[in-house]
Amino acid sequence: MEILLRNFCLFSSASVHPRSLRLQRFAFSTTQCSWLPDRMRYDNQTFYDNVQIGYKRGHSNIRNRDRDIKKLQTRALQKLTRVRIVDNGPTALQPVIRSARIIEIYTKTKRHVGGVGDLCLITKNGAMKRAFIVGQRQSMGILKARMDSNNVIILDKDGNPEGTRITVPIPAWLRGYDPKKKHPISMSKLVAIASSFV
Amino acid sequence: MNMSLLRVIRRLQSSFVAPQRPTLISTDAEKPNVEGREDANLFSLEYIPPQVQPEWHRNKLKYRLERMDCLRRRQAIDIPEFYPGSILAVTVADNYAPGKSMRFAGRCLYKDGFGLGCKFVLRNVIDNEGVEKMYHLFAPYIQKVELLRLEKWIDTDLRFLRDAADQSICEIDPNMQAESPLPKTEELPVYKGKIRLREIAMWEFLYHKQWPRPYNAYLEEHFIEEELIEREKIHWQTQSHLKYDICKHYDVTKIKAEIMDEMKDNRHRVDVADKKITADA
Repeated sequence: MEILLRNFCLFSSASVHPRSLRLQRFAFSTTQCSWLPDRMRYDNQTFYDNVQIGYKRGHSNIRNRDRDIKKLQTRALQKLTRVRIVDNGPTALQPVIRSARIIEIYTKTKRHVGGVGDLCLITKNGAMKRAFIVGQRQSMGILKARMDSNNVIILDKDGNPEGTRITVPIPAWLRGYDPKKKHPISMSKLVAIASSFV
Repeated sequence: MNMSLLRVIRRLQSSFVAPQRPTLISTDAEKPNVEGREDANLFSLEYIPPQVQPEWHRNKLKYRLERMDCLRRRQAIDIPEFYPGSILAVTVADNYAPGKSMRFAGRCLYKDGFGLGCKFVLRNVIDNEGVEKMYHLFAPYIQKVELLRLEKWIDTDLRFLRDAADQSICEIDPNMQAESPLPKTEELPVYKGKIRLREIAMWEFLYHKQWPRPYNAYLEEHFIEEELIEREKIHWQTQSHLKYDICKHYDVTKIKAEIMDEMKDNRHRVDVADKKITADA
């Protein structure tokens, strides 16, 4: 069915967007990291020996490298993203009716998008708590670790963490990170709780 | 009969020559490196310039200078040869770390880029959490690059390991002992195993639609043969003409020979240039 519709699309300029077909088929929507080496820049060398196919952009120059890293979209958590609570506080250990989600992201400008090192508001089972983002699925660039899940630590009003231990590895660049936010965050306590840095 | 035998024996006895003493000189230096694994100072995969279009955007002087810089870095640090799929450990200078350096071990997922912009990504599973880190191969803050295990896989893009059912492929002990790799005079065996993936709903990429399809991923578990054949048909209808586009063909054998010739003289050029810089300063 999907293939017939796709063939129909090829010969007519109208109607169905192929991405929507994909979403109907699968339960979860798949992420598409567009900045990673894609087929335009990258080739699988089983194709031909000694022949690299595909137009590769002149991307990795000395001049262009820093510009591309700065243009990377490193923040990816927004409202209603599902989030994994990673410490051993009472909110983390409570059973879950609906998975914990982000409601607000506190940034200076109205960016609506947050990453590692940002504060956010979280709901779990109807209760709202403040949380500090500690790991992210979107890659943040060079030397910054990329986790397989969006991790979060819950803080109380004074910025102290609720739990006593963090089992999951934490990015090491948070050790020298000074979050200049309106709400207080005690980085020294977070760093003291963490078990391992990456 | 006996007399002829005796004559033969006497002749052999007179013509007996003691065997030569075995020479203790090893002949390894005479064996050349295998074609795919040359000395890093002569050739490496990151020395091949990208196929920039249009042609007048390609600047051979720029590529040559970048290769000279790579050689300068290789003289300062020993960067081993590795391929996506092999296990590495990297120590990096870090201000806030105890001992001022951080070590991370992992399996290389891909290596992409030209010259000093060559990046590679290591993946490790720590405390049931998959972690990936990207490094620049020729960065000055890298103190050590250790090869723990040398493997070569058919695929050069191993991002499907994030969706592997068995995550112990990327679970690497940071205190793992380095295994001595095969010498460069022998050909590396390529790993052709197929890795099982978890259920399709949790996939990050759609590997059956990606072309070329990853060889090392076991897709037949999730798809019938007819589905895969239909995907091939769609690719044939839409994109197969690209491989016949001569403008996009990039013949690497000629470029490789040119690069090898150039890199032989590059050490001398680098010395001359460095002398000039120190003399002027």
